[in-house]
Amino acid sequence: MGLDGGLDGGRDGGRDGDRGGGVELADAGPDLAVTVLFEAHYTRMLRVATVLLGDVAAAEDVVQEAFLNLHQGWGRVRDKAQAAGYLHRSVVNGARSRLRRRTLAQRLHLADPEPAASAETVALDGVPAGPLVVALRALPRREREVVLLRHYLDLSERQTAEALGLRPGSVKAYGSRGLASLRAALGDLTALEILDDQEGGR
Amino acid sequence: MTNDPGRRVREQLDDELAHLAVDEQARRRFHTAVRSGARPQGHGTAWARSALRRPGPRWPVVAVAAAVTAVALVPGVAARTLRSAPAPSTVYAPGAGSVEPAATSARPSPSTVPARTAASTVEPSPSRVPSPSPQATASPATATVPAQLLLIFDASTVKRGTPVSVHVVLKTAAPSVQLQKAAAGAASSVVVVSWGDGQVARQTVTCPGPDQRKSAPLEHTYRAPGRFQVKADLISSTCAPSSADQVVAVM
Repeated sequence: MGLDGGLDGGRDGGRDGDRGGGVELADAGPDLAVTVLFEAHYTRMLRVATVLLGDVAAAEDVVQEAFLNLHQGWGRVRDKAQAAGYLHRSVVNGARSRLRRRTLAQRLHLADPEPAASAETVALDGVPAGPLVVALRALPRREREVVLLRHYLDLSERQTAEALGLRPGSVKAYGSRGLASLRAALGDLTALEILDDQEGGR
Repeated sequence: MTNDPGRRVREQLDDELAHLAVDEQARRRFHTAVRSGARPQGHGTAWARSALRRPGPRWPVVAVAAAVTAVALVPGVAARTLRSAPAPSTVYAPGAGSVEPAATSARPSPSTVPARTAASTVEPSPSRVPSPSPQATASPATATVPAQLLLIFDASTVKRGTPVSVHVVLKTAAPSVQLQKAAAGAASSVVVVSWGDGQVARQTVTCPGPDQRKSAPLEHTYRAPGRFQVKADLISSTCAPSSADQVVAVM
């Protein structure tokens, strides 16, 4: 199908995919378009949300909510080529909202706003996180968001700025600080030694 | 390629989070949601959440009292099932006057929930809570006033004059000597239902046997549409302590 082809190049990536699939997405109905976006972006969105929230179940909710919102509001999306960007924003905003609620509840000593996890969820969430996930979780929220969107989702500085509601210069600064913190946290982890070269990336 | 930090971050993170991927179940539910246009009411209730995987209050809150289950019936519309399965000991913290309704709610799957049940809640009364104490199990006669539950449903779409009924269901938890007696029909509970518009109904229900349920259908006709709090009270019971694990709402 044409949509698949249009998005293949940017699967979970963003930039190329948005441009390539945009024209065809504009012609597609919400079912087909959102299905294509789901196949292309769901997994990485879920991983981003999981790192942002530290909770798989909440991350699933946030990501699925973003897709449902997009599906229901497909007719109101003016630039269909930017649908993936809308999803990014939606996921980040959803995660921020969750974190705010969680923080507020903790501050007010309210009961845990998140419902108790089932045994299944606990078992899934109990999978030990790798060093990069742990290091990312330790970053300040802004830096974590920038590193994830800029480097994991492979968005451009401009797209990252739009998704996060920041200026491009701030994206650069947060990204730089975030990567520096990761380097410090991960020490001599060879897998991330290349982060030293991050300034020359794009 | 090592000059691309993004690629290494992606590879490393993909490797560490490889267990998080879209699976067939999520895909199937997504397609169902897309096809049906279904959107669960409430916040953060997306399609891939199954009814029992992670109960949460954003769904129609269904807090199940330890001894009774209410069934709201609005004739003429398809039956729906809301499930929740809290064990009595996890539903209520023993102790006079205190209730810890942890894990007392359930989020039914989107496909099983009608939109109108979103306003439905069943909540236990803090004032009268069954305590699964040994004393209660020792003597059925002491298990009086074991529970109250509150069923709120949105009857705004119910036309004037439409009969509405509530089934108060008793369900036994585990076999015991007392339950054997109960199964013989020697024990009963008196159920009082307050319809929320000033009307009250009363019915006696014999105790169910092990792993059985007894239903007390009570019908009422509202004079005007509106949102009503229907309270079902067990004001007297000689049933052995029992638990409910299912709320069936027919709207």
